[in-house]
Amino acid sequence: MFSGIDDYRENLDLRAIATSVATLATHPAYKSVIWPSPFPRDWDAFSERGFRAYLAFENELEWASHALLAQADMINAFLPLKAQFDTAILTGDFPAAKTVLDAIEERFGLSVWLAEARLSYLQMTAGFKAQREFTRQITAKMKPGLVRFIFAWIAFKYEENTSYAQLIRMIARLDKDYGVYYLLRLCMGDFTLLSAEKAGQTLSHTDTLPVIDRYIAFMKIVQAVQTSNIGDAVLHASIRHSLLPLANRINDIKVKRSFFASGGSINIEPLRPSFRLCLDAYTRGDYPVAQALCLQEIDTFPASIGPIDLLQRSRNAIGGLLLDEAADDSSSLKQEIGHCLNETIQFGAKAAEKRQRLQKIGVVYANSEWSAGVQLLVPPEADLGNPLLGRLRACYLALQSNDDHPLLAGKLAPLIPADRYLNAISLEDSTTTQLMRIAFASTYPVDNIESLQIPVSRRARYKAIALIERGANAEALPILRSIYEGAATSLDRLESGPLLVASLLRDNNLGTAADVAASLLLTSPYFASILPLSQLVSAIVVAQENGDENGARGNLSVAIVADMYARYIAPDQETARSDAYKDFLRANRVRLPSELAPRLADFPREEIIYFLRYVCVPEVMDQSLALPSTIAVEDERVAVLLMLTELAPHEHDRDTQLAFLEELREIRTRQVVRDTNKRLEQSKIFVNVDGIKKRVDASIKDNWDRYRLISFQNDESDLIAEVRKILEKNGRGKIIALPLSMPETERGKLFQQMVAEIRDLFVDSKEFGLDANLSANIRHGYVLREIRSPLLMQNLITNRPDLDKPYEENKFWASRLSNLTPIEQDRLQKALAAFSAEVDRKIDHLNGKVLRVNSVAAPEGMFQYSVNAPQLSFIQQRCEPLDKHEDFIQLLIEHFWAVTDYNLERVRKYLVETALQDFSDALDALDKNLDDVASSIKVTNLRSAITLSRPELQAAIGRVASWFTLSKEVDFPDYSAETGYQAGIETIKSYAANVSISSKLDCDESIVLRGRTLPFIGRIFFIILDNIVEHSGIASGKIGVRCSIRLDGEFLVFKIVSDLDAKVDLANVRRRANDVNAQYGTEKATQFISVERRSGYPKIWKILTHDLQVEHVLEVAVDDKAREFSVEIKMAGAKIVL
Amino acid sequence: MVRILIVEDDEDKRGKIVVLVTKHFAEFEIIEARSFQSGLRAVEEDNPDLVILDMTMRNFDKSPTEDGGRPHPFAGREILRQMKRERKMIPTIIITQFEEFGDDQNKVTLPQLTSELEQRFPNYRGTIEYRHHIDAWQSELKVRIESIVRELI
Repeated sequence: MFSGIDDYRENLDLRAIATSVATLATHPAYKSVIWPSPFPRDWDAFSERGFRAYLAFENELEWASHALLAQADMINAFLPLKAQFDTAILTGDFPAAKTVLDAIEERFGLSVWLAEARLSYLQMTAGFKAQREFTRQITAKMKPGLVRFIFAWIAFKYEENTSYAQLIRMIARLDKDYGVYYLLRLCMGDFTLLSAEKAGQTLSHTDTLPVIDRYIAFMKIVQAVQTSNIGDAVLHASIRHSLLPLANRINDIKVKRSFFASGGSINIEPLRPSFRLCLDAYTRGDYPVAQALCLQEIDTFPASIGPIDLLQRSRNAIGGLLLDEAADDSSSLKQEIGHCLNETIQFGAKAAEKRQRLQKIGVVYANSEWSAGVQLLVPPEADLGNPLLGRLRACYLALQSNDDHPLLAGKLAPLIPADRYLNAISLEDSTTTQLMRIAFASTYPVDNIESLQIPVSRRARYKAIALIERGANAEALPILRSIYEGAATSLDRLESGPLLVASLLRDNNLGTAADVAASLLLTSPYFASILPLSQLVSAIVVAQENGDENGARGNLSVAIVADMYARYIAPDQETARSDAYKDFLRANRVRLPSELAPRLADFPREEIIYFLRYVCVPEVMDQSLALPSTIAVEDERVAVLLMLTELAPHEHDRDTQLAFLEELREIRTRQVVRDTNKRLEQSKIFVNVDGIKKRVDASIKDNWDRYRLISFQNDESDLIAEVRKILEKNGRGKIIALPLSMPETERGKLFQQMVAEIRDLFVDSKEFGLDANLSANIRHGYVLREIRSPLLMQNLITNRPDLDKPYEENKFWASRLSNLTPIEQDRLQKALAAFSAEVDRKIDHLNGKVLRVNSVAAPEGMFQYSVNAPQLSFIQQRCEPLDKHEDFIQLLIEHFWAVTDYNLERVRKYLVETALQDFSDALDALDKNLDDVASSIKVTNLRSAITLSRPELQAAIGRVASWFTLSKEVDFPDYSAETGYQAGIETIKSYAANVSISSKLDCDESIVLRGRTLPFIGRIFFIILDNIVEHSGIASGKIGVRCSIRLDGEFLVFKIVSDLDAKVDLANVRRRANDVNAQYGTEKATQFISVERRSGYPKIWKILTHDLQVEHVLEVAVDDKAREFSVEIKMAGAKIVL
Repeated sequence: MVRILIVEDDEDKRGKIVVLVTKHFAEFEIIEARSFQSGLRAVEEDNPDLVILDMTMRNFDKSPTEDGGRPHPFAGREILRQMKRERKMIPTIIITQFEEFGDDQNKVTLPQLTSELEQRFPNYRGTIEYRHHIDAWQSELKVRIESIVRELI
């Protein structure tokens, strides 16, 4: 049957729709077909299926209007109840709200409106938790479909942390080709331009909604299409035609106003006499009377927003209400609206925040009677950048107002000529009506304003508005300038400011517009919300790009305007700010802000302070060619902050001073940590020479003495012959002198043995040697994490739970490329897993084969220390002149450093050529493999990620290569224990791109450690933190780490506690912890000092025992209840702590 | 002698472009820059006759002690804009590996971007799509450079 009606509907003549719908809607057999669920009783009873096709707009409009007409009695019964509920919510009468809601549900069943109303009631009475629970309950019951879709968005709108801008941004991402998008935007309280075609689609979706929702949506669609197509006479004739029966039958001011707006002839609500008195008293400047009348009006008509606004304005005009007095007066929405308005009217410090709150109230309660009144007072900032859209939005909202009054004339003017509207609502002209007539009805002479008995400043302002409305901007400009410069009160000046800026902008006087705007912005940042900054900044940018002198290039005010624009309106549009920064410096013939120091007095104090504080920030200064590195930028910011601490008033603004000092402290800390990490990286190639010397001293001394004796014997053979001759001459007879010498080969063997002993210690000693340090300082985690980091950052690789397990699914790209078919997804996962495996294989190859001491077990090892015969002979020759064994040891160590230097050069070359090419090839292979995964268009984002990772990977390998340099003779300054920890945490943060580490440090600032310990302490922290990242079980998300550093008598104690993921097997972790505690420092554990991919604890033991030579205890533990893992090291402090 | 500036942060890609230019335009003087800022500096200070720009780059040249600063998804466009502001209308070719630019909020497709560049910058001479494992970009770049050289002469 449904299909039949579909066909029938599609072929129905426009003129026949009214009769047909009327017949079908009342026919016992058909009424449930054309409207299956007008008053549903269960949340799962909403209709899911609408009519098949949408028709032309006029047909859909006619159909919907007559379908609603059939329910006119129910709608008329509903609207007063809805008004009661809306008023109760506004005034905080929650028992009444509940009673009305129950009554509405009882009579009209369930609806999206009702669900939303319940949400707003719960928010007011029971809080966000109850609201969420309600959402959960009813969405669980709702079937998938339009109602559930809309309600999900409504529930999101009511969320505590959802801002208006965020909401609109998210909706804007939906597909705009479908009517559902427009329906949603309008239901959510936003305005959108709506063509007749889209309006037809949008209306067609409403046929599945209950009567209540369909009526509300119908009115919004009609109002949006009316506003969006102002000059379309045919469309307005259709609207007039279809709304006529509704306007006659339904007692709703909005349907009548819409009918009137499309040219229909009907009596719309006249201006309430009591409200007229309020308006006139205010317009005349009789503020005490206006205040008293508004208070009465608010009591009598509590849902009318106009009197609340007028009350606040009157109070401010007579100085009757200070902001502080109103601060706590927010026990109901109505009071809160009043308080927020008061703050914005005064341009107070919290005006921007209060304005946002008003916007949120307006949007959240968008379907209430009074919402349009609120929204009209605080248009979204986007409208300032698009004045035409702003005017249309105001017009759309004015159509929804629950009051008719003269102030709406200007808002409705694009759709309803002001004169026509004012004539319709005003039985006789009041002062306010006359003022609005002069301002917005172009047929009235502007000079008539002179005869009105109103305050001078108001007269001047409205005269300027009237002139602008008539296109006479040039005439309006001097008037506005005169108000701005000569206003009697600062409020008059501030109120006229935005009009003046807009007028200057229209006049293309960009320099003065920027000057006025900057002056206003410095008075209150609130002006960023109400000045046409987008237009001003884009006009300046265009003028400057085109070489137009009006671009005000080099002005300080332009920098301030551009900064306010970037900070408050468009955070992603910062080019104007950096241009203005560079232009200002160039205009003043300096390259850096700090060079302005001697000339600060030449600039307006407030403006130059603002410029230095907010414009001369790292993200702007890094665009300057005068600052070629991050460090240079940071140093310049320090110089700027030092200027500011001198310049900003100490006595008046202690908080600002503290903010400067805090920023200075943060930069200094960052610099120290960065410097520390740089030093750590420069000291990775390390051999404990002192340890070697102590170890070999005795054995080498004996061997060296023997070796020297042999040398002496061999060298002195002529002397022995001489001695023999002397003895024979002295009559001792024939003397046979037998030289007691060792053969030459024995001497060589001895020398070789000594060289080998020192070499082995230099290279292989687990305690002192190069390989153990390569393992602890480079191979253990560093290479792996450094190279993986840029790939992880782009989510190109995943991890394995264990070495023998497959790689985890790449969930990031699985969800980002959700348009892939299951087969393509499978191919993608295989390609990414293969890439992860290839990267790790290459890293393993580097660590396990290349970055090692060359040996039989590691034939590819690039650290070659074999000493062949010619080399040995060469060393031996160099040793000939030496007497002491200490000199011999020193010479050999120098020799091995020279060999190391040669090896390091080879390693660096290998890394930046061979290894880099290897990894680039792996990326190329992945890129190429994507051709087999899916069509190019489907994997664009992934290809972009590959491209982004390339330079980062090149830099990462460059960084790894840079570690392979001989450690400089770095004299580490003494440092705070905090610095040592921060150095470790910063390193691990830069590597662990897939997780965020939330670190808390509890450290006594007075603990200062000896400079020489820094590389070791930094590495201990790194190894512990690396373990945490590796074994916490947290593959993505946040890992909590708490570190305490304290002195316990003569001991220094580090304790680091970290989170364990819920899926980590605690019994297994406990077992491993027990192993660590049992084996720590034992022979078994020390075997793993030079082995990577094993526990880092043997390396910690080696660093503490041999490098730092401190007695210590290490204990690891698992807290099952808190799911935390802890490492505690207690060490003798004498050699470490200053 | 024609001075050609190549601004590209991917060393591999830059190396291949340099090889191509050296091979086909041996008489050119090649200036290389590795980041947004060094590219902009080279434009301002080295007076190139022709510029080849990458679109997405870091702010500073990377080094073991410099992480490159923040990324600029539209670095190439920004350099073109600065050229226009400073009245340096040097013929410029964009060579990019991306098909989309910017983050989710400000995503721009390659056709949208090239259309914008055509409208805004008279010195813009087209975009070439680069793929590491496909060589089509080479002939395209050669043709475009030849065309610009004819203009210069």
